[in-house]
Amino acid sequence: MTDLKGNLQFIGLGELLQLLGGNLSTGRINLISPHLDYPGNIYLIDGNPVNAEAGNFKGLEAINRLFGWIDADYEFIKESVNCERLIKKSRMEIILDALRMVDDGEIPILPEAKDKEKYDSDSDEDSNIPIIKGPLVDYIYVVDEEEFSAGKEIVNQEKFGNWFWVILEGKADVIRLMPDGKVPISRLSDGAFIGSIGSFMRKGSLQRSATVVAVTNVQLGVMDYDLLFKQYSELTPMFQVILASFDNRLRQITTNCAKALLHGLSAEEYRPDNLTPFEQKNDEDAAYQIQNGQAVVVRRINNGFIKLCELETNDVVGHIPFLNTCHEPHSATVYVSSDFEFKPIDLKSVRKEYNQMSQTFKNVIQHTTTSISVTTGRLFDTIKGGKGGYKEREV
Amino acid sequence: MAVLNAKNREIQCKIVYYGPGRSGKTTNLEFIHKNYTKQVAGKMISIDTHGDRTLFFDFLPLGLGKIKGCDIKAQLYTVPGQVQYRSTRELVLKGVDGIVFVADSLKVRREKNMLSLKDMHENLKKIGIDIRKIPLVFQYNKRDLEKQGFPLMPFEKMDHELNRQLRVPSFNASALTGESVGKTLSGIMKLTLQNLQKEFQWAQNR
Repeated sequence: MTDLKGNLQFIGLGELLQLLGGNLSTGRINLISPHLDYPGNIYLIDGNPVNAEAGNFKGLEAINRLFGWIDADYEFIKESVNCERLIKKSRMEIILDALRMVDDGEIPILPEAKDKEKYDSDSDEDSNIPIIKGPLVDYIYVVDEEEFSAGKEIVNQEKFGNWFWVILEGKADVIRLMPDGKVPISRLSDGAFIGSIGSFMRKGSLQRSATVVAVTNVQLGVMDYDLLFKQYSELTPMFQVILASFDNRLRQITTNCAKALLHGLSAEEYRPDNLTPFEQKNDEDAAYQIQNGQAVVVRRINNGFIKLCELETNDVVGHIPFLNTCHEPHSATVYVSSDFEFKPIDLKSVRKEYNQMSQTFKNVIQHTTTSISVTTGRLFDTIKGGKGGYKEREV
Repeated sequence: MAVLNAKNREIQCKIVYYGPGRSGKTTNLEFIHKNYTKQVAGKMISIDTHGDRTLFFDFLPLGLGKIKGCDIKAQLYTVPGQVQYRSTRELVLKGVDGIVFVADSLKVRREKNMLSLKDMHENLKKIGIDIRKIPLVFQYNKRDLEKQGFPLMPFEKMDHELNRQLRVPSFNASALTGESVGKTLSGIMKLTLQNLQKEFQWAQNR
């Protein structure tokens, strides 16, 4: 007579053995797997397994293999047990050791083939979107945690807000909404931030620069905005100018990248007419604040130019080695108007200030520069016509 | 969730020692098993999981009374921290009644403690347990290393970083010398039994 039955997907074999063990049950657990043409049996006396069968396996080896039958149907039949006692280990020792073997891959899990198929198809999906990751977050800055299930919108481009999150686990897509469509720009993963550094520049609500949607179930840490804002407001005006200029670059690059992904982009479309190249040597670590006039950052391609962004008074051009955007002077050129005026930035004091910042604030800045460089890379991929492969970038 | 065994009038509860690898979870349980012989029931089971061991034994807390005339039996476990041991971790955490989070006081392990706490929070959430509701104590282990000149995190700082929101009892300890191992265990046992008393009371009054 069956005293208990069900499926191991609901209650695992470890729990079932504990349940029957706690009840000091004597009898047989019969297991039927939909993937095998033979049953399994475990024999219990006073709640302790004494023998088991699984195909050609007997005793401890059989019971271990049965831990891999994760979707088998089971029934417990209360009956007297007269079989040979092949298992000498205690109940908990059997359970813990078998689960350890399952996790170490020593016990085959049924059905193996089906699992592999699922994994392969997941990993191929959307493989052209670049991934941005970040380092482990300092929990002092996390004031709360939130969960978003796959497909849920975390941030909407048309709304205002200044909440700042870090992805603790999962993936989310940054999507730019354009008048003629939605364009996925990049994929954020563990350690990456959601929110713009621009939100610190004007405390209060700022319109979001993109929509962010959870691709998998995402666990977010809500960052301590007040603490980050305090650190921002303690920066020198020059550092604040640099950050504002980075934010401006990122917004423009994102828009240009979205346009290119929607309509394609040709290197012949833009010419920096009436502008002259701003001379900066490749090995020169120097940056300048624009005092007057206009600057355009372009990338030279065989047949012409790709415009990355337009900069104006107070923006920053040049190369800050510890805040690398992968633009000028190595991967882009600056063209300037005839009335262009600038003043050099003291990079030594900027570096000193940067070194004194909290690691978390540094991570937020690095996330912005990485986003600029990754988005620029995606823009170039559209020109090459290639999909660009699956790139990961860690800040 | 504790299991009531009507046959032998016993309430069986589960206490889990959680924490980053090498923080001293197994040292705690080994000390208890070796020194509280009257209360330990049966042998200690030790499973070699890579980089850590998973331990288990039954423990009979003395002097904490009975609930509804039933004896209390605790099962003490350590949980393997490594990501790969998902099945073991799930089984150990399922039905947990009380948790000791063993944190490493070494400064260099600060991040590991936070990561492990986050991991515990997530793993509990997966099985429907709210970290803020489960009986929990913190143990800041390896305080003895201070005498040997190792840089340790001050108690206040650890408490601020790990326990600021949870505000549960916390203990400085040295599992190697046994200092505060018993105190931590009785701390979690008291909280767990108070919680069980409430649960059984609630069940009776329904």
